[in-house]
Amino acid sequence: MYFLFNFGLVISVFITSSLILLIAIFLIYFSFPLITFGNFFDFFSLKWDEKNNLFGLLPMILGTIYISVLATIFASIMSFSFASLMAFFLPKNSINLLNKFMLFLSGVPTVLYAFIAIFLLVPWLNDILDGQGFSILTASFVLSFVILPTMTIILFNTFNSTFKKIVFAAKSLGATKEDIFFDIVLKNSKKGILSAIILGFARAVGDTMIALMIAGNSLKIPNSILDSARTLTSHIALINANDYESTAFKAIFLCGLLLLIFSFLTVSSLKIINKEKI
Amino acid sequence: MKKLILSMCTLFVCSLSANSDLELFKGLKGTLNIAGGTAHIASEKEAMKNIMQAYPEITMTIAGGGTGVGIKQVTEGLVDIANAGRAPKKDEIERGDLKSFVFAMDGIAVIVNKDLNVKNLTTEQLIDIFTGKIKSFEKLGLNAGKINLYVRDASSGTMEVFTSEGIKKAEISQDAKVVASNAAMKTAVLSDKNGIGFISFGTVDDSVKAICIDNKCPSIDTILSGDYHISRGLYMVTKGEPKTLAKAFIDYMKSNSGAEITKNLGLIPYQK
Repeated sequence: MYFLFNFGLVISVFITSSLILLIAIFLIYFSFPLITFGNFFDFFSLKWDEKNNLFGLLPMILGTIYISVLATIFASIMSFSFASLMAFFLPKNSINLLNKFMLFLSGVPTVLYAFIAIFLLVPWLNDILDGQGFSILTASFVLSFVILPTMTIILFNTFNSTFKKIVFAAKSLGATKEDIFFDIVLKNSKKGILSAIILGFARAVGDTMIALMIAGNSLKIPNSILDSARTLTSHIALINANDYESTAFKAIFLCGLLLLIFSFLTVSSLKIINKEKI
Repeated sequence: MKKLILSMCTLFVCSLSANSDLELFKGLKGTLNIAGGTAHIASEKEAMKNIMQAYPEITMTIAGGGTGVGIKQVTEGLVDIANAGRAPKKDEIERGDLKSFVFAMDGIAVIVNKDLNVKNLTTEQLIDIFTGKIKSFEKLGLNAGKINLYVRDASSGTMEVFTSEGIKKAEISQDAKVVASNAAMKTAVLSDKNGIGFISFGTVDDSVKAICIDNKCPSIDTILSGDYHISRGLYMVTKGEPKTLAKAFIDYMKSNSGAEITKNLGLIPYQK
């Protein structure tokens, strides 16, 4: 029986990992013609204009980075406050309630956030910002709610995992809650904070619906956070139904490859951080 | 009472003509597969239901996927008919030896926010607005601020027709915000008091204002007569000459009962 169970585990792990490998090979295979095409570096030029045969992906790459970095910053601030409140400064029953609430939030489909934001946040911002409702700022603000639960739960677990012995020792020396938090817990949870930020960032890069519905998708290179921008994910979604033989359609395989490289880099940086002693 | 008799009569006539239109399929059997544009699905599904009820030996399937997907599949022979929301491009026709048939018409209406005090724009003004030459409504003599452009993605049939007919292939400003569907366009314009965009005429409702171009307003009559020039056909595309079953289906969509169906579903039938 145990043998069967172990065997099943091995098989399922094998299938999943080979599927991921297959996706990578598939993307490389389909973007290979573009890479060997000669003018490969055109794809990292400044402008996307299908009619004039310009297929620059730089606006989308920059859009992706701007939106996910800004969202990570917003979410870091919020999740840090949430997690530290939950770990130290709140009574037990409200901690449980907040924890349940965070778990619930982590399951809400992202399209729901985008949908609500379109009807509540965007019209309001359109009024006060003179029609800049569809912008990087709005998209990253909404996106930060999506990555908030992931980051909060990781941070909360990190804060809670500080050795109880040290905390007791500090208490016996007369340290206040604030002292313990700032001098002991924070200094011991650098790794956890970094991994929360990186995981949040990876999730922000991968999200499609919010950027597609709220960021405005304009093709210009964004100059300020009030400009609208297009991410790689929403670019794939927008080009998807195009003429299959066109370069525009082939270019989205390169977008996919870039996204895969993005997530590979974030995950591997997480690995590096966790092995290092800080 | 008069009304009742009249409607009974029309119903009778309709059912008569419907039956005679279904004669097209007499003696035919086999399968017909359709894929592609999504604007066609509702009406074609209705027609298929009628046909399959009368002739159980005929099987018909329909799938979405968008114009590009449909044309790709018909070129490879995976489906018998592709639905297209735009005319097939020249290289697409050459690649697959495609033939296309129009069974309905659809206009493309330029829409603005309801609060914006504008009724009519000339084509030149439209070009200036969408190329980004004019950046505020004040320059057009209106008391509103900065113009916010909303357009569709390049794979959209609506966008294709608007660029070629509406603004004479002018280059759309890179500032324009891109939305993914007709419904998203409507939401964007209704929530932005300085927004301007365009949608399929079939989806216009009271939440936004459809404006007139060169003093010609979009309506079923003006679109069908060609007076309102930003319009398109809804195409059924086949690889080479359509085979018997496909031919019968195309003819049925263009017949009186087909027109009745398309009309009921908000499209403008085209029977020529």
